[in-house]
Amino acid sequence: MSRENPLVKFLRHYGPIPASDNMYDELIHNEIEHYGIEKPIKITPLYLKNVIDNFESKVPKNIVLTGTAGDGKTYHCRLVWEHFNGDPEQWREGIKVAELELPASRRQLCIIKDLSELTREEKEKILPKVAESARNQDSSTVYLVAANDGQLMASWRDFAEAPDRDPKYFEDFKVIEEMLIDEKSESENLSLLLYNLSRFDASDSFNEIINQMTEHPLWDDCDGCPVHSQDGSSQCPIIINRDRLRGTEEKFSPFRKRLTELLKIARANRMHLPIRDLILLCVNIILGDDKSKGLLTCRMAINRANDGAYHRTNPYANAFGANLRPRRRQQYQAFSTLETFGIGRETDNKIDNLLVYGLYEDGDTKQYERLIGNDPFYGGGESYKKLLQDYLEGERNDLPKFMRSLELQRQRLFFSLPPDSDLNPWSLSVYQSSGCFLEFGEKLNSGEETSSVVELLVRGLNRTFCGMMIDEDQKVYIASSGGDGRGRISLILKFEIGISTNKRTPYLDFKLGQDGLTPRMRIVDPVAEGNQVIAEIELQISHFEYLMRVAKGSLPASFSRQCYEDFLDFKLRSIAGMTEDAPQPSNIIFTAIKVDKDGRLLPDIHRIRIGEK
Amino acid sequence: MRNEMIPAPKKLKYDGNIKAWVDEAIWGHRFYNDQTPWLVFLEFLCLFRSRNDDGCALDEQRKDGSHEDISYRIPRLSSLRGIVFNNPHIQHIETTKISNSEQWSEWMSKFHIEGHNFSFLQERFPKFSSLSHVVKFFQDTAVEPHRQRRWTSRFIFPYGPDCLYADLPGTLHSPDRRFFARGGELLYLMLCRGGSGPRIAKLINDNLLLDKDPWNRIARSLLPDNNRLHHETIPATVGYLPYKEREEYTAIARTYLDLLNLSLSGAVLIDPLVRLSSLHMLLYMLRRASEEIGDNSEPKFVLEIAAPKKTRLFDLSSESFSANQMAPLRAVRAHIENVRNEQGWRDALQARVQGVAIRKFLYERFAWEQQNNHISDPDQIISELWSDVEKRHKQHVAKVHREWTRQIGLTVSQRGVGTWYAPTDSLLKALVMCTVQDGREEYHRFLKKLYDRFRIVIAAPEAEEAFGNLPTDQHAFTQNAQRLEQRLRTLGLLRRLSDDCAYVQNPFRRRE
Repeated sequence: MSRENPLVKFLRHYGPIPASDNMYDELIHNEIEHYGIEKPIKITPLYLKNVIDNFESKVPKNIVLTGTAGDGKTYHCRLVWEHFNGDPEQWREGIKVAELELPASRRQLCIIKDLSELTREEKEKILPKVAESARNQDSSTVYLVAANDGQLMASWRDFAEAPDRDPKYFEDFKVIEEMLIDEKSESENLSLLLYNLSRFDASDSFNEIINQMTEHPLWDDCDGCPVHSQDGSSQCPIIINRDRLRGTEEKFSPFRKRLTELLKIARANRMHLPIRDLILLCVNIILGDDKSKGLLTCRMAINRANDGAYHRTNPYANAFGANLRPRRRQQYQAFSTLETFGIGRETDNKIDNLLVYGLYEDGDTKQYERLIGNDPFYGGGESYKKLLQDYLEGERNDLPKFMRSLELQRQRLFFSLPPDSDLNPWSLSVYQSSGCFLEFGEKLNSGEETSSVVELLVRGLNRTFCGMMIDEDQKVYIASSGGDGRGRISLILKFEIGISTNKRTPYLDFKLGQDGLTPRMRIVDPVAEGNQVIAEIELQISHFEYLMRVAKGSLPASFSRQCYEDFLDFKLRSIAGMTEDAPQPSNIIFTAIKVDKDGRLLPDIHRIRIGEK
Repeated sequence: MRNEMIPAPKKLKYDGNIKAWVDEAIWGHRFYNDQTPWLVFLEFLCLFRSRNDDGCALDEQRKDGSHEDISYRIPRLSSLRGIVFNNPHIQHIETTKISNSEQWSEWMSKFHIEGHNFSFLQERFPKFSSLSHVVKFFQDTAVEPHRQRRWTSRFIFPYGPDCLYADLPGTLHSPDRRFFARGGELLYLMLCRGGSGPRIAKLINDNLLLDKDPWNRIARSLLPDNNRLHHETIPATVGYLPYKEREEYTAIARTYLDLLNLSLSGAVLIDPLVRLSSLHMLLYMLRRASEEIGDNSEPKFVLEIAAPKKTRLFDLSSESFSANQMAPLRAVRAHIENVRNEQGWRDALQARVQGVAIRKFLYERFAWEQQNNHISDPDQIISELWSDVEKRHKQHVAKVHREWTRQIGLTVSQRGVGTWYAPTDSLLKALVMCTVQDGREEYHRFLKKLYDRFRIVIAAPEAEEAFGNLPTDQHAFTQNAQRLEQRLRTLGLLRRLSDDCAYVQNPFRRRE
């Protein structure tokens, strides 16, 4: 009988198995020892260097670590404790507040590894001390506090607002709240650094996790396994899935690339995945098993291989948690986040044509073989062909089954289309312009030419602002509907502004946001005093997609209510911020707009002579 | 403090128009269901504008112990409203006649308003199409365009001071107070007594009623030069608001300050001002009702955020609606029953001719005259009074809560299901614009503020405060709050920072 690879056993602990508390730093620690894993999965904590450098300096600042559960707050604290020779035993005993002396500054470092462990009284005692220390550079104690952001804000506000409390505590609170929301790590007023672990680029960490998991030396233990051939190829679904993620040819894996891009876009959409979820996602892709509604063991993997039951272990479906029961799946952010992309459910004519007719006359058989027939495990093999044939011949009994297999094929294609393919994988997702979105961000970052995308965005914006199918893409027309300004159709032209930088008149431009990913659309008035940005809006992927779709013909108010409202507010802010020409005493001029059949905007200027009183 | 009452001006109370001074005694003169929240606000603006011309907008003097004595005038603007709302030929003429001069002469031959000569328009509008465009614009942006009102009760959007005019009956004669039913006067009085009158007046003048607004100037261009003549305005005097000082007055003033301080053009602020003014007035109505009934509890609106399936919150919301709906009638009943404890009543019972004495007392007390003079049993007289008052109350004041809450987007009605509190997107936006200061507010605190300021109950902590204990399981409220969060997010009004923390965002900044 086969042996079990300890790595597989160990990885299962990171996955979505019933014991939901399996991931806490403390517990996973024990598992590592239990299985004798010499090289555990270890992601260098993002801010560890900053934190340690700070506490090694002569004038250390206080540090607050916030983030979503699973981002590694406790992990950071433990590593800091160990770095400064704190006793690991003492840590493991579960103390809430740990103290040691910092060698460089001779100050006391006080680590609160999880603020939520403290009672209300304890918090009320310690938070004022943190505040004092943050306000006073010479404080003899500095603090390292790990806390969920909401918790931190609530506790801090509670004590700051308590009766008879010095109002300066509330000022501190406002500073920290602002740092948190505006994503700043430093403050001018406080000796305090705030690191939000949820702000990191998950796609980088995810790549590192994939590397560590797929390149782990313990995989060598699989040599000699019965489903492992001499030539190195394997029938084992675990190994197959691992290799899909890892990429066999020159280490390139479209699977990994697309996952990384999905994570980037999720981040741009403010959907954050903590490290804990990233590891879980990776484990579920490799070990996910539909039959057991959980994860594979080595024994199960061999059974699947022997039965040829690869449809049970499809890694592309595992990526969406399809192997789990819906209730369980919903508990994990990783799956609910990826689910929002609609991959598999969204259709694309070109790709569906290939999937359905590719095998037959008139179809692109070559393309079919190259993209779909080429995958003996998860591609369009016999079982798919059988369902397809029945479907084409009018058999409808197995329709749900066929639709599901079509979905799986779409998912597989999304993750496996080679980069040089003329098929666009993003057309299989809700955000069809995702590829364009990422590219636009990169180009803004590097200062490259972006005009073709800008023109589309401007056209979408004009159509939203005016409520008519205008084709203009070189100017922005800010039009008003009259009344309270929220009417869908705006027939009165208020302002007309350019889209290139200009020294004298207002213009529209695009800048990359702080996350280095999300573009911001801004209206800039170069001659304004003070803040020259009159109005701006962050173009999250949904906004970007909205403008692109509207530019290509969708109706503004019907595609997304949220985006429509956001752009309407943006318009109202712009109008409020722009300066209108001073009224002429004897004339009123207004410009009505019409659109001709070619989508051109025709200004219709009206003049009223008026003897003003 | 809060309960110091100003006696009703005698000329109002005993002018013979009011059959029984009960609704008015409790809430003021007056709440009226035909006057929608929009028209309350418009009437308020008309009054404001007139008093502003007199230099005392929202800054009215009151002699000790007596009511403000305010006279004001509202313009008729017959030509403007005629051109906009009673001018059916204009678009047809524009499309069927080709030359400009033909268009003008055709229109001049068809359009008449008694006592007006419109030749001035041709001088002002070189192109007939400009006039047609302007008319269309004012029609398209008119107030409550979906309502089929007589044309003399249709209003252009208040772009500026010259867009405000009186509500008139179809004959254009003296006003019948059907749509400008004094709700706007109550609002005006509340803001006067709310402690920030002059500040609010300045903000309204600087942002809302801008003389230089292009559409205000265009509206003015539709008026002949002599439109400010005396016969072109209608005189009026202000109604009655019983209490000198109340929390509701300061609360409504605060809402005005919060909204008018947003950095936005005034036109955008009108929708939230309309909704929240009436919400405050409803709160006033319900609190006054509780006081009359002798009930110490605060009013509350339990909101069910729309859910795919019926929830427990739906029941609570319907119950809360029904209780509030019934409260004014109960208040009226209590108000009448309470006279039995008054010295005047006891004296009348002791009088030699009891019936006469009671009638005299009740006339003084309620300006009420008994129809059947032959009945003199005290209980029967009271029950006759009650039946008159109830009838009158049910015709108008009793309907205000139901109609206003629907019009401001606080309730939903469904045939066979009933009516319950569930907010519309526009109301949610108004609430966010008003309560979220400094651009953002932590979500739970936002919910708390909605309760503190508007008695709106959505989540468990507020429910606990409002009911004294949780009326249903916590989970139902938690889900209700989650649904609101989702709603706000799809409106672009909420941002989640982490699993633990979300902020409601006001898309508009405050003026610096």
